Amino acid sequence: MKYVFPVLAVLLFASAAAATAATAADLAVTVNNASGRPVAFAVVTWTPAGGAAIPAAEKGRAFVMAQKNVQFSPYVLAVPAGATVAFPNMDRVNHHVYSFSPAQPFQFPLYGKGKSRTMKFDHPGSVALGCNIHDSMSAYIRVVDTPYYATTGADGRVTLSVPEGAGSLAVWHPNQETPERQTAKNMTVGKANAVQTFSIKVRQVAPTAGQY
Amino acid sequence: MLIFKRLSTRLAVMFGGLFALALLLIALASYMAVVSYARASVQKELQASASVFKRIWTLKSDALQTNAVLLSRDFGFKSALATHDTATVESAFDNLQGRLNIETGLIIGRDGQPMAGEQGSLGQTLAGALSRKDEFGAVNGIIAIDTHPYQAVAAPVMAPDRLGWVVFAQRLDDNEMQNLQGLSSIPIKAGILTQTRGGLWLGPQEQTRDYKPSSLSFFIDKSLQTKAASMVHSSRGTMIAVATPLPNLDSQQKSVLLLSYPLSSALKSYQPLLTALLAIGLFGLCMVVAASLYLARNLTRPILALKDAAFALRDGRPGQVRITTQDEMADLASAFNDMAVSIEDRERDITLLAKSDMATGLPNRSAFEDHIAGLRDKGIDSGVVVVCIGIDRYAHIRAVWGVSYAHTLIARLQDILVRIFANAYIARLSADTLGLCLHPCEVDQALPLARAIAARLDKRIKVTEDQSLDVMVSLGVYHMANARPTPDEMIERALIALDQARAAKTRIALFDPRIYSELADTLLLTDQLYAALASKALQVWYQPKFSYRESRIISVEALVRWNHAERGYVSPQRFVQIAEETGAIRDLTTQVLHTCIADQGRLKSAGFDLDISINYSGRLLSDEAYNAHALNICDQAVGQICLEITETAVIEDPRIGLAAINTFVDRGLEISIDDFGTGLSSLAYLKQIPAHELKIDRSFIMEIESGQRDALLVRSAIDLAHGLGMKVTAEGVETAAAFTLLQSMGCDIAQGYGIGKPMPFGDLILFLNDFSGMSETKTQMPTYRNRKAV
Repeated sequence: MKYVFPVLAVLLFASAAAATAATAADLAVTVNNASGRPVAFAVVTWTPAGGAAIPAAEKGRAFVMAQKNVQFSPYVLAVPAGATVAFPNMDRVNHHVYSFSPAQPFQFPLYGKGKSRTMKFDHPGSVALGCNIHDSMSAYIRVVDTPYYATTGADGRVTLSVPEGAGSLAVWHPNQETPERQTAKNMTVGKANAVQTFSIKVRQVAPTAGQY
Repeated sequence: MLIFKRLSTRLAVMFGGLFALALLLIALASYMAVVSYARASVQKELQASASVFKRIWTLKSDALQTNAVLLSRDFGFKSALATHDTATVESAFDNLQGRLNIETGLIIGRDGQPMAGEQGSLGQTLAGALSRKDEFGAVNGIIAIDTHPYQAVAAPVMAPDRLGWVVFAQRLDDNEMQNLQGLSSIPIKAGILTQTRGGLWLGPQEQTRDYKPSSLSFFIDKSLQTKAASMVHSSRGTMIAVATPLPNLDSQQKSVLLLSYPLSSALKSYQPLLTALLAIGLFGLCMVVAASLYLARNLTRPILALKDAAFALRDGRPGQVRITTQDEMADLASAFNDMAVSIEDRERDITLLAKSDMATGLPNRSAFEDHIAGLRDKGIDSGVVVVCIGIDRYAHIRAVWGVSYAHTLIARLQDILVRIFANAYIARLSADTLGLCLHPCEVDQALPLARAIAARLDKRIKVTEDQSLDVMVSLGVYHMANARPTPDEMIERALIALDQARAAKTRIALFDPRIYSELADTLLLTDQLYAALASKALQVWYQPKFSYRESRIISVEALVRWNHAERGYVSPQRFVQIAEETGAIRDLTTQVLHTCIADQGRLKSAGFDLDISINYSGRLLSDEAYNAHALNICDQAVGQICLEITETAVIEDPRIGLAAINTFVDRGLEISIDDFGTGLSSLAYLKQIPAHELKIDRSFIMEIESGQRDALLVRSAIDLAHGLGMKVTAEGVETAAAFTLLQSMGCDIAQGYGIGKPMPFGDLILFLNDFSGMSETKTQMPTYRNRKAV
């Protein structure tokens, strides 16, 4: 269920964009790691050359970073700048969610089961989330500055519905071993587009897994 | 190759040497085993120490790490670090450093630069090392600053991304190393070395100053490869050392823990063992040398005894070995003793055989010589008499009575002599001769002694119980006064005296040096005769023979003459006798025959046709081969050859003699019977010999004028010869009276000085020339004119 919302959101957004812009086209993207395996939790964004305003409807969507079974869910959440993310505690224990990321430092001191906190993310960038009392909890919120974005599933694939024309196609992953953890390329989107494949270097093991 | 003269030395040296060699090998093996064992145990200790070090390392790392991690997890610290609140970070670090008594450390910020704590080269180095680390967990390891090693621990600050590092470090100084060394059961020296860019391993000065950097680096590389302890040289002697790698914080650095231990210390605990081994070895060597010397002596003593005995035996002394043991040497010695005894027995037998007469058991000539030599050895060289007693007719006695009877006779004679002369030495010199040696005896007692012996032996002697025999003896006496002849010569001289006694029929003779020298001279002359024959130095002279009937010289007699370079003319009787005895008569006769035949030819050329008479020795008559040879020579004669042969020659072997004479006659030679009347004349043989001429010996003719009986004999002989068909030649016609008388008796031919002396061939021609001119003197003796050849 945790993937349902964002995927659903992307689909809804894509169909909405297709309805509003007559010149929209599908852009399929596959993200693989160095050994050719699909990479999940990669945030794929398309930024048109002239930029793109983020519709209010998009910003107003409900984004959730839940805490469940002493884990954040999802691991990676992509949100457009200006969106508000809810942090519901679905565990029996309390959590102290924080971030020291320059994009959005914040903390929610301990709050219990059934309670939730919200935070509005205005600045694009990555926000690393942690829980002060559970070192093993780790998650990322990717704040993007474009309405065309999606997060890969287990198959490492996404399809964006974007306006035809030039732009920048970028792949961000929390464990990507590149500066800013992002790989980007400029291209022009036509009516029909070939599948864009990214081969990125991803650190294998989740850094926080079981160590702290 | 060593050569020892003495067997015992050789044995001792060989055994001792072998043992020493074995000992040396054992010592070497022991030493190597000890070293190897010491090294193994030290290596074990070193490895144990390395494990301990690592364990301590881990414990300390863990302690440091725990604290570093603790700080890195603190939310407030994270918050301060995330917000670059440097003052708060520093205060938090100082607080912890003070609380935990941490030597040094630093905080590295998100940008990878030192933010708090150590800011110097250590901080920079650590920051540089950690910037290359992409770790999310705590790391630890060695970090070296200018060869000074530090133990460092770094914990990342995760939020959840890495915000920076909390680093704690502790210097690994000598003190720290000594603490580690104290943990080992043996005084190990520990050091940490780091490899430089050039590959050289360097460490703190106090830990590496004993080593040469290059050899140490080489050793460390090798040790890392083999993972075993080995030897490395240092200024403090050979060390057993091992290098084990240590984790490094900086992946670009490599460090090792070098643990070392002096070899001498490792061997120290084995020193008593080695000393004891050496002492035991030396003691054993001494014992072996002593034992092998003793054994060798024991072994060689019987051998030396045998050697001495063998030398004694060789020198003719009794050689017996004393047997003291019961081993093989004793068997050998016993066998040797038996051999020595049997050799002595055999030698005695041989001596007995060599020195005694087998048949009678009397000493023989060799023993007799030994006895005389023994006297001489005692310094007695005068007053010794040697008598040789010859039994006359011994061969006859032996032939008649038998050999054993003859031997018994000899033994009996010896018994008699022993009874008379108790101190005389008596030996059997030959079958029929006994020798007697007496000392002392003056020269004037020698002959009386011989006479006494003769008197006692010349009688009827009882040989066996039932048989007696008349014995006759001859004695030769030699008395040694001043001359020093050898024993052999003394016996020989006594034997010569015996021969002289027999020849002179005097029964007893003293050795006469004069006769002895004649004998020697005859030997010399014999040699010279051979030389003369070889060089044809003998001459043939001729004596004319006058025929009464023809009143002229009708023949000549060839007479051989020897003009010796030193002696002058040698008596023909003497050298012809020598020639007959030695066999040279063949060569002599051959030469005479050749000369005569040649001369006869020359005479014929000169107008004188003469017969030549040649003396033919009776000894040659029995030599058929020579007779044939002589006949062949005579066949070449131009005139008549007459061979003059004595009657005696025929009588000695009538069959062969007569056969030879008949052959000569058949081949046309004339035969003349020479010297008629002197020998044993046999009318029977005279009748059988087909002679042409009879020559009456000069001894009858010389007396013909004065002796009536001689004249009668000559006349009868002439008549007898004529009766048998022979001419008669009278020899030794010297006077006219004899010449005339013989003519009246009917003698056919005259020969002698009255007619002509024997003369060389040259004179003969002159003589014949003169004589032929005197044909008127038919009835009287021709006048002899002594003329020399021109």
